[in-house]
Amino acid sequence: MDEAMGLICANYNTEQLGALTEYRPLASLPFGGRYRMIDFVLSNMVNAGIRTVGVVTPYMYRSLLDHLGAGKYWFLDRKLGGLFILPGSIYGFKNMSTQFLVKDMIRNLDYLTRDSKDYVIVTTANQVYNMDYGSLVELHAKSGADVTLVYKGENPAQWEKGIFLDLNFEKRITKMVRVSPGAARDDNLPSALFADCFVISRQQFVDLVGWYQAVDHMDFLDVLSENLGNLHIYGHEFTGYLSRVDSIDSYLKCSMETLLPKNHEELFFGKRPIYTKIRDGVPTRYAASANVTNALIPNECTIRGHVENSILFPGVLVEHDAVIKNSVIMQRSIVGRNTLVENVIADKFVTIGDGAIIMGSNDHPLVLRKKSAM
Amino acid sequence: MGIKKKCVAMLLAGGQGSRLGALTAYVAKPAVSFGGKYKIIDFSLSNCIGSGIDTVGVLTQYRPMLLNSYIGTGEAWDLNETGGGVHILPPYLRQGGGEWYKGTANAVFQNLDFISSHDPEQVLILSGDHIYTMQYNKMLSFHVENKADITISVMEVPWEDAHRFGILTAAEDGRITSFSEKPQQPESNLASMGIYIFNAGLLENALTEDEDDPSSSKDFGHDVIPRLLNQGKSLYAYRFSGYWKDVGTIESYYSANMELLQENPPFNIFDRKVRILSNSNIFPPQYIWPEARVENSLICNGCSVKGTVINSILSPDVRIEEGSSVIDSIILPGTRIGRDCTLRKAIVGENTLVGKDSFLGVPSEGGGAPPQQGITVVADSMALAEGTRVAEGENVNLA
Repeated sequence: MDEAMGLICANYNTEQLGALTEYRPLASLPFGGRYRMIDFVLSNMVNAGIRTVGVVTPYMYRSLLDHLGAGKYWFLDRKLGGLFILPGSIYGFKNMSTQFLVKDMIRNLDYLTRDSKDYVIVTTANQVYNMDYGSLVELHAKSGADVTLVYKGENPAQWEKGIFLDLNFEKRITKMVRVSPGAARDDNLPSALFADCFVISRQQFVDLVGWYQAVDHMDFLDVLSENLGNLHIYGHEFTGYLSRVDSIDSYLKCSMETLLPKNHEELFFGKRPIYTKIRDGVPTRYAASANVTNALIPNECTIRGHVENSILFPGVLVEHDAVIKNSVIMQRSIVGRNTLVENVIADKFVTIGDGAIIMGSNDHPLVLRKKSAM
Repeated sequence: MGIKKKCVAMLLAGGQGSRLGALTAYVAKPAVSFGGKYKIIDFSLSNCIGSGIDTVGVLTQYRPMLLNSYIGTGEAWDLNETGGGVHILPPYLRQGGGEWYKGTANAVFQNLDFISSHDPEQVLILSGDHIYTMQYNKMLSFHVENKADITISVMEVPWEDAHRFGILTAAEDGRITSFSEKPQQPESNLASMGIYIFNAGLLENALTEDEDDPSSSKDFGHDVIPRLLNQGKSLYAYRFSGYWKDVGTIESYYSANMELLQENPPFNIFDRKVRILSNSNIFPPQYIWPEARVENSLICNGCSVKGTVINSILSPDVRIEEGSSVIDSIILPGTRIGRDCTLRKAIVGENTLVGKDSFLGVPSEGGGAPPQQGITVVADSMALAEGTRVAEGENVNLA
């Protein structure tokens, strides 16, 4: 399939992730032992044969560009097509919550007009899922719809914000309801929730964006919402595992969910690999004293202690008599001797000194800031 | 023609490594996995780029398919250079015929045009089947400082092993006075590591001369080096002191791997200063299941462990199903161990399926030591049926 190109709108941030996104965009937040958030949608595109992908960069994009480079690890360092870094707009507060900002599309219109692909698949970079985008585009092309929105049919309980969709019997979208964070719960909301991914014909996308140039601070989804009567906008349900990271709680929750065998198999061990930047690390060493159960562990770690229901990142050292439970320990952090670490998200290069006891709660995990020492 | 190169490396990777038996049934020795995620050739290639040598000819002959695809463009070692990089050099036909590589010297002789196309000052001859890290640039400086014609990298080996090597005697300043390949009665314990630096012009002459000698076996150690010494050329010995291992037999391959499980292994790949590059596939992090038990082991990405793994090395993309015990064993990439298997002191080749309830390394009943120090080997790409039992020290190989 070569008739689609990708657009990842990563110009989005949130204060809900606290120290985790203080110095990095959500798109490059480490996730799942060796990945960054953007790897999931980027791999979904690449696995569908898409070889032209634009990434709208957010504020503070150093770590994102460090990760993506020229796109080599996603086969996007190419002569024809490839990875396009599209500067996003910065205005107002740093933590802009508009995901599909029309202004970002206007400013990068060349990316959309220079290519001749028929369709554009547009996503954000804050969701964890492994989806066959190839069939999605095929289905969109066959249906004759103007736009196809991907949705989760049954709203997972934790999603209290986002765009809820009302669909008629033929899955045409009749109503879109945007619920802001912190809004009172409305039991009459439709159950289908927009999954931050849609397919649109490239020409129509360019036209629509152009018509809304005067109000370029709008979210493109609100543009669609205004045109439900004029355009044929249909929904396509994704039935696999999908979760959204938009807060510290949801980060840990989603991390723990990836430890469930079913989700884990679907995300990582299926036919469509998730690609990421390769670190050429040594194998992980498990000492005789290691005790590891239900854990995702990448290369380059040294484990001498106890790791349970947790996710480690490359280069983590777990010392003798350390106990780590329900936690995420990022790259090259050190967990010292006789420690207890539970419900903790330790960012990169954190040192947890000997004897420390650090516990968050299930609902309120504790975040240890990058390079901090305990 | 590109810019004149200071040094071009010729990496001999065509050998079968027949003493590795089942492990080299389908791949050349340099392509055999080592230490979990590496292949033996990674060490030489990493040494090249670590020494600033960006042009490497890899001479292949035996079972080259995996080696060719593994090396690819050389990008995994940052060797995808314009005007340099990795070049796979198989034997080829020319007007008037062509022939297989008849020996190490003949292999390089057949590729003299590759060397001259880069017009180097020196040529570094390497073999692709040793485990070590070395800065060839230091050896190169030594070579240039001594105005040597040829420099041979040497190290002291135990006297009792000396008869297995090319043994040489050198004066105080490093000048070599005698050289004998695999001597019955070694007069020194300075062994050649099979790493040579030649001045390029001299190499061309020496190889042409060797080619014309019908009594020559076309081997650097047997023929070329002794002849040059006799001719009074200046040969110097560059002393290397560090870890260097020829994992040429099942026993040495097994022990070199197992040494990596020590707290401070003699060859410390875990030292961050040692950078060994390899062509890694993208695999997810290892998944250690709730029912798993892992002790004193090395495990790579892409593995999924439900059973017990003790004192073992799991290469990338290995799966150990529930109820299985893998003890004192080495599992090569892509292999699946079914349920309720027992593996003791086994080496299982790449992409092999071990059916459930199998037992590899069944203790022999009779007295006496088992063959091969009791190490059981299963070749690559095998499918062992359910309930397969293999006695310790046996080799399982289709061929």
